[in-house]
Amino acid sequence: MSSATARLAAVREPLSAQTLRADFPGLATTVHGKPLAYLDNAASTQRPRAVMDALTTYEVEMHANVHRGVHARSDRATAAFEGARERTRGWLNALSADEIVFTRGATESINLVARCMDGRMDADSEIVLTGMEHHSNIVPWQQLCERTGAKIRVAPVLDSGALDMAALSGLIGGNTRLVAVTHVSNALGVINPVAEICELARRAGAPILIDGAQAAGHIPLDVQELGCDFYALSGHKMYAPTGIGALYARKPWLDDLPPFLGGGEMILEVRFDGTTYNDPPHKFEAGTPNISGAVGLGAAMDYLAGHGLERLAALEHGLLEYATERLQDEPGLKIIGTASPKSAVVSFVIDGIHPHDLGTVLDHEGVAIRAGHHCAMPLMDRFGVPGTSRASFAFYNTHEEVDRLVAGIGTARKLLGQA
Amino acid sequence: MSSELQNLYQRTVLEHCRSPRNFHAMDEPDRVAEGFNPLCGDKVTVYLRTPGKEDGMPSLPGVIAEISFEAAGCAICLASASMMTELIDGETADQARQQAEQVLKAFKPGAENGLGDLGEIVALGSVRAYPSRIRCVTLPWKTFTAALEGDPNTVSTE
Repeated sequence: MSSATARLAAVREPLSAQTLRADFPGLATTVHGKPLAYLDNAASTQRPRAVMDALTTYEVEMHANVHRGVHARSDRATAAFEGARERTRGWLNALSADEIVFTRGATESINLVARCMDGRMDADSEIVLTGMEHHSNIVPWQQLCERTGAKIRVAPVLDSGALDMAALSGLIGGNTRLVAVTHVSNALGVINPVAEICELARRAGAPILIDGAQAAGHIPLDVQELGCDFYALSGHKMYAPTGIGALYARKPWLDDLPPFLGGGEMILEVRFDGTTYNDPPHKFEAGTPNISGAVGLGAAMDYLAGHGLERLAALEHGLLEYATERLQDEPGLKIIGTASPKSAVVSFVIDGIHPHDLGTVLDHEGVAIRAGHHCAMPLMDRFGVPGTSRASFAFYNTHEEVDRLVAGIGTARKLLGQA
Repeated sequence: MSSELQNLYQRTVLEHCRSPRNFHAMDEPDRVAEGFNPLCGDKVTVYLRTPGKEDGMPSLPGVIAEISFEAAGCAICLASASMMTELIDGETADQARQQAEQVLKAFKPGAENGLGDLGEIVALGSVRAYPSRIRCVTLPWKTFTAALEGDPNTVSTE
């Protein structure tokens, strides 16, 4: 069978978590003597063999610096790096690969925009955020406000965990100089109506940034259809290595904004009496970039596209429904974030059991979850809890792992005396 | 259920967690400090009554005549705070300071388990094998130290 035929055959076969798991060596390990049930995918996903292989191939056959060598390896490294940029363009359906800036991750992508906005802000300017933002989509804007006197306005979150769209609509107005909203809440899993929010921003003439860290590996994206000005993503939350991410920015923004960091790569000509900057996206990529990370990101996108993101998302939705059903039957357990639509994240609190204690007990059962405030302290305050326990799923998780989560909660009750 | 888990959540620990001792605010404490663990959001407030003072804020209190705490935290943190108040209540400030130092030292990475003679707090010794939970034990002790020294800043585990 040719490799193309093999691929076709694989695509026709119905997807199952069991077969997909075989692609992820990290999942076939044990913790405290129990098989790992990795339910912390909103924090970071595991890497498929295809990504590891792409990194090895890059290291062995291509690695050199990009954009500056006259030798074959540098050409190969440049082609791989720029190929990853084109792959990322396709992933987001950006108009041009020049609209993709590689960064360390969504956090740096957001900081890049915030650092380059000083000249567009004054004391009358308002930046509109939501109450469900990750700290990385709050703090850079607070720093921008400290530098420029701009003010932050926060759209509240409803009891269901959904964004208060009426309030948000009222906040976006003539003084709005930027709207920054998360696509999917990392703490609750709630998916925001980002196309609608982009339309609100567009009508007010305000640029909009979408924090896509929790969305980019789970939801098919089209930045042109969305109509956003900026979209931030992180590689390690979509099966790629840590330390690589991307910022999509509409071309006119990249032309207009001042450079972010200064150094090599981002210049055309440097003289002591003045420096000419390179064209975007290089203008925003000072220094030798994370070439292997970009290659890994491209490989992860290839892997996901090979299986079909919609089909993978369907598996995740099945896990969300099953986990919600099982957990909501647990006495004294309250799910925080019940709005629809949701990504495959279930955040919950249990009467009398602190999330940290639950996390430790589950860890001993081989079940990895996240316990704490999920870098969203304002959201935790909104719901009056210091933190939650969060199980977050990827397509490679199984219903049996959900059962083990529920059984582990039973063990915690027994141990901590809540039976 | 693994024996490691049962060792971590020993009967003594759970008992302190369910009925924490000296778990209340104090009216007009001589000293008070707040502690915060930014990783998990746990909060502890420690109140001290230190009589024999000559003015409002003596540099060296003599005796811990009364200690109480309030906390929002996990079982380990609550047990640690509760055990701490039982151990320290009535001690001289110098003894209490030494005990706090002994506990904080025992929970430093790679340190020997030097909890030896510190009463019930010894039951928390197994937390030393859980790097992500060590701060749960140390937060109340750091907060107590800050109260004793009159540190006006919120204590952080970081």
